[in-house]
Amino acid sequence: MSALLSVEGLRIAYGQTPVVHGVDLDVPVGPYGVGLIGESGSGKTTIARTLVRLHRASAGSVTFDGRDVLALRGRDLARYRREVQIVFQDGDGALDPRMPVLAQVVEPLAVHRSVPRSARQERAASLLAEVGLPEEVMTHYRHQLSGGQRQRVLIARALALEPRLLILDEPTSALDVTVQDRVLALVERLREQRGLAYLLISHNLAVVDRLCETSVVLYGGVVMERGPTARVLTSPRHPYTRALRAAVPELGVQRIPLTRVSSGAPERARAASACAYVDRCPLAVARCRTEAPVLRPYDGREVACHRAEEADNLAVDGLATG
Amino acid sequence: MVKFLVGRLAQAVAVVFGVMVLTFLIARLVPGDPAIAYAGPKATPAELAAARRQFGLDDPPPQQLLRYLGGVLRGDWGTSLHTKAPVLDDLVRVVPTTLVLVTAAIVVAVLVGVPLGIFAARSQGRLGDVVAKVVAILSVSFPVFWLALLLQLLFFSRLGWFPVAGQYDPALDATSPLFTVVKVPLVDALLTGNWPVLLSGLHHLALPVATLAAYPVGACAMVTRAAMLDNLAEEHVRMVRALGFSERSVLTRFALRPSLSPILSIVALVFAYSLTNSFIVESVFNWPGLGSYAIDSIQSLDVPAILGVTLFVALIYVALNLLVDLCQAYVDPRVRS
Amino acid sequence: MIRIRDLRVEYGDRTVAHVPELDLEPGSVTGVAGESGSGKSQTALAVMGLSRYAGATVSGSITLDGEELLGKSERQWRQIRGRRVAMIMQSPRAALNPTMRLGTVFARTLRLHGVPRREVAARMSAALEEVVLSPAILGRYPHQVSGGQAQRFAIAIVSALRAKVVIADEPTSALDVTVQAEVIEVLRRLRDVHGTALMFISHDLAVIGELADAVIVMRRGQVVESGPTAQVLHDPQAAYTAELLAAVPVIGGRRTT
Repeated sequence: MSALLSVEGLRIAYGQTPVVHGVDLDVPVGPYGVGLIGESGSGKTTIARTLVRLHRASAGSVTFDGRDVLALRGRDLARYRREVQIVFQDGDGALDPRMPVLAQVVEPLAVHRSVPRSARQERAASLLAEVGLPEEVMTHYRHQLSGGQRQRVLIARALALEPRLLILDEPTSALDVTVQDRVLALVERLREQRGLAYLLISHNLAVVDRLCETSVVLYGGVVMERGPTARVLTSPRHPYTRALRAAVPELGVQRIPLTRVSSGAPERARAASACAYVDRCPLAVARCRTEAPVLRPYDGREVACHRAEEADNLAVDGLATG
Repeated sequence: MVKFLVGRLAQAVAVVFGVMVLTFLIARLVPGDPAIAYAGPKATPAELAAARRQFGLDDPPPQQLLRYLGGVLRGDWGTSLHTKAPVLDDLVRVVPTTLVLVTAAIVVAVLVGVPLGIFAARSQGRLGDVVAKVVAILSVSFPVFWLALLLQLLFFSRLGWFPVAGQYDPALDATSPLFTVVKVPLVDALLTGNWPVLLSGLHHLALPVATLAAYPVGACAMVTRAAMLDNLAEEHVRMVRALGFSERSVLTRFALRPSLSPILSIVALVFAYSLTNSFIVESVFNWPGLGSYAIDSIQSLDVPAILGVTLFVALIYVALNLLVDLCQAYVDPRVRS
Repeated sequence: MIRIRDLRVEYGDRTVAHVPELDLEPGSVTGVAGESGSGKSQTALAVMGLSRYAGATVSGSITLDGEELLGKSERQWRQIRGRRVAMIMQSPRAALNPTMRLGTVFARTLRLHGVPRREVAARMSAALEEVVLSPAILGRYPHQVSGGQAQRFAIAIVSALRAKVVIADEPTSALDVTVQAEVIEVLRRLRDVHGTALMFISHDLAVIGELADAVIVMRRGQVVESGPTAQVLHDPQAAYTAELLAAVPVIGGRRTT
């Protein structure tokens, strides 16, 4: 089964500074969810923006349904934009404060002319109903919506063009926990009803666990671990994934930080050939500073770590300093 | 910081170069024959030809440009058609007078406008804010000539508190003659310790500066108020309040510093603006400076002089912006990166 | 240490927070759980005497070691804020003045509260060491440090001031999850080593479960439940508490796939 979206060796830079260093990932045809897990600075949002052509890649390839995404232009690019949609994290930033909700959902329909003018309002209204928004919200403006409602509007707008792939960038991070639950349930429902494929970007492991079959763990612009969610999140083999897992607050379980605390002391520069995680990894040895590990198969998934076999030994009491 | 400085300097040089090329091009576009303008309408063809040769008007444009640029860099900014003197000499003569006026006005503007803005921000929504805003808006709105005449009427005619003409009392030339150093009376008086002339100079400065400072005071006050309000709403202000700092400390130490950036920008803008808009004040109060010179040049279609003034103001602007950039970088570390 | 009785925070005639009873005991952490609009932040501001800056009025009683705080003048409040009751905020880097070095703010704050000049450096050093920060951080500006470092720095200030009561308003919500645990650990130390009374506000019940000894749950300005943490989280009495607990996503829990 060939992938719907295939990313190979993707490198992205901000000006002169490289932020993504050779990322590979695949999203199969839906219904399917791939989770891209990372914290701030991992490069996950940059990747998302590059996948929808809002940012330039410096190297690598992105293939969608056999087409070279990075080379698309004009009409082909417009067509790609119908098939791949993104839902941003910041509902406040992604919605126009001066347009009522219905108009914002109509907008993509009008731009792409995918639906005749007379049918647009009706289609937008049915989309808003599909995401569970009551009718009166249609005439509301951005400032009158709650966080959860804003997120739903963004999702409705993204669905307007019947995309085959949806990219969700931290869809629940800014939301209250009860609202999060409902938005995630919405994504589940849409997945079933539309056979949607999605790339879900989140730092929240539990959210990824709930919605994604495959997980890709990103740190410092490099993939650290990749494989079936059940394996990666329940028995992580990379020290960073283990640290992430150990850091997830769970009722009744006291967390132990498994990363070296950054004290702000002047750090020696990390060599370009070193592992991206070396400064915070409690298992780091000399080899990690000179030889960046490559993704290799291990225990039913792929790991980029020289000491993946010893990950089980990772148990540190209290805070270790670095 | 050094890298920042070097970068900004390089940019400044590039802008100045661009301005010089632009002024050259504009001069070439102006209709009329500079040779005729110089030699006069009754000149003979031989005189015209001589004038042409003198100004190199027969040479191809790129060569003329190079000569112009070379001249500017050497200090030859052309010859004024209405004073018949080198433009640069004219500028050196008139600029200091205006500079004194404008600098004094800007200093007053900052000393009055910034506290006014802080006061408005502190009393936001209440009477104090409303009063401050009204004062600021009024001072920006006064037409300069109207204000000049009003001040003259009130403080000279009616009250006789302040003089209205000249830079200092001419009678003093007999009693305490001024030894000229930089040819600017006030500065010379300060440098030579000539107190009578200095006091008289300040006395004469009062009304023109009051007139010229009106707009800058309003602008500074409004910008200060806006920047302070923005910063007062920030989390870091709540933090220092929570740490126990007094409201006065909050206003003057913690909220003012990040507000300085926009204030500095507006000060530079207003300074450059005032340099050429001082001509009404110069006219009314008889302070012959850059503004008057510019008006005279325009009225007599004196192209070299007009270009000279343009180039000079552009240079001042570039220098000011560079200075402001440096100050902003000093005050706000985020600008440096 | 701090006793809150019948506290009401109002905007005009709208009550945004009503807390009938809440105690902050030395050496213990009291959690205040709730979603947005629950009134938890308003409660925090009231305890700091900062409500008036948000345009709200406060009534009821807040006593600190028996001394009534509501009704104190602004000057009296300034003696209390920072020195006896201190606050840590949600966005750590936004809570620091962007144009000042961290060291400047730290030193000035210590001097403000009467620490003699010759003692300032030592106190800063000791406090930074406790929160695992290098003294090199004092020369930096907020935009040059990470969120976790900035938050630990804020805790260092509070610790150096020896405040007996610390109000932490969503201190970990804006931080990466691997960094959260670092900050929680530092707060834990404040409680255990310094005997500080900590009020920990969060929308994340699991985080509260980790650190708090007792918890109150707020919804739309009202307290719906209170009690020892273990009891409230494992045997909630209020329907809303149960709803909050059920909504917390858990790895290995509900799965789509």
